[in-house]
Amino acid sequence: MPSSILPFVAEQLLTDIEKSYKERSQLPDDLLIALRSVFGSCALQALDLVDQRSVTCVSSPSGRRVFRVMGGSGQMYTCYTSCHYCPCPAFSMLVLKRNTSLLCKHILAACLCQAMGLSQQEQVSDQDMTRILAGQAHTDL
Amino acid sequence: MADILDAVFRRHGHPTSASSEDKSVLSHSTTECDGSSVVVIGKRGVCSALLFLTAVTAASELGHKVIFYTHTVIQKFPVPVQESMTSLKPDSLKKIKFVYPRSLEELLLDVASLHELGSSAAAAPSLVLVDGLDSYLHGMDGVGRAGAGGPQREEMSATAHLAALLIDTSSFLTRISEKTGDSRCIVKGPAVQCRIIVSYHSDWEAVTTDPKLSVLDRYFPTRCTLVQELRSMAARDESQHEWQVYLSGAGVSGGTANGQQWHLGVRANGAMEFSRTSKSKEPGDSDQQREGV
Repeated sequence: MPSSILPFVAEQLLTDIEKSYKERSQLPDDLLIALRSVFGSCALQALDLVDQRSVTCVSSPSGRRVFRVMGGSGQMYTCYTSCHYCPCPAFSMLVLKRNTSLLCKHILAACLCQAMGLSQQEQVSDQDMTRILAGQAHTDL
Repeated sequence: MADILDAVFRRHGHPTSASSEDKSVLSHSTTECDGSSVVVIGKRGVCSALLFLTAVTAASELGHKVIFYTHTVIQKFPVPVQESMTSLKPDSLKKIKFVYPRSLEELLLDVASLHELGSSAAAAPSLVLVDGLDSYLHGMDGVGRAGAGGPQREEMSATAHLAALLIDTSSFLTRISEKTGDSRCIVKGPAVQCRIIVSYHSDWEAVTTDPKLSVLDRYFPTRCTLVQELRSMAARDESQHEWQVYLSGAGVSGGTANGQQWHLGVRANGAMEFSRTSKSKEPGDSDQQREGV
């Protein structure tokens, strides 16, 4: 998830995770500790989502892609691929309003899945993609 | 984006302040700005006029295909633009598509559907303008958008959603143009980059307290602030106003501390004239300007 918003350290960490996971198919302890250090408790929650294969990379014939993350309550959250946004309450409260977090667990899970190649893949029509992007899709799309 | 504004300012520069080199800047913009997206903040009338002038200039002289979203149906040229329009090509309006979403939901759907044009680079816009984000965000039906929370949090989430969708769409359309080798735009730089310019109508007092503006700053690296001069505000003739134009943020070379400052004069005949002043402080630092953004 290329983004100028994510500070350099976090960006570098995700790059290291991608490289390490390609080589060993697992994450070494030092990277897990770094993840926890940079993202706080959000890191463990995001890793849970990764373990549960909760992240789906949705694409359409136009080539547009978006991440959909199934939250713990079964709610589906749409996260964009080129900048950080999530409709979850934590993002609006901790990231937008209080500015105390870099991102929420859903965005981090999407970043991790992209780095480790662990996201599910799904194809939808261009019209369905439009509704997903606009936040007006039914959850069963 | 700020490179386009920079080009517009130079194109419509005051005759005595704009050199011939500045006048020909449009074919090789010597911009000092490299922002990928801009939010223009100021009073409704001057903001709308600036965006309209930008749309026409970008379409007629920079070769951009433009989409212009606005809540208010445009039935005639804005007064401050009419004189400036005389030197521009009327056919350029054909390259501008005006869209009038009535609600935030309609605007989100319209912007989200732009990827459906992506398979044909010729049909996809290279400049997306949204005039009056505030009119969509203030009137939003935010119930349930951010879960159980205050209306302020819901508005901030809605603001982030719209801004992020615009940026993500811009990124997608840029990728498509790069793949297809689209080279319609004349302006220097990443010639195929799809740009976003939005305006947010606000009074000066609200600029520092409106939480939605801090959200917009997360997504739009360049801020263009229009501050009306005090002596201009005292004038009875509303058609002759003077403004200070501040370009600031990461999208402007020199960073936020040393942005660019322009002067904008709206003349009696409706002409908008820009002249470069100097490196600026942030608006509000000056005793000469205040009020009436």
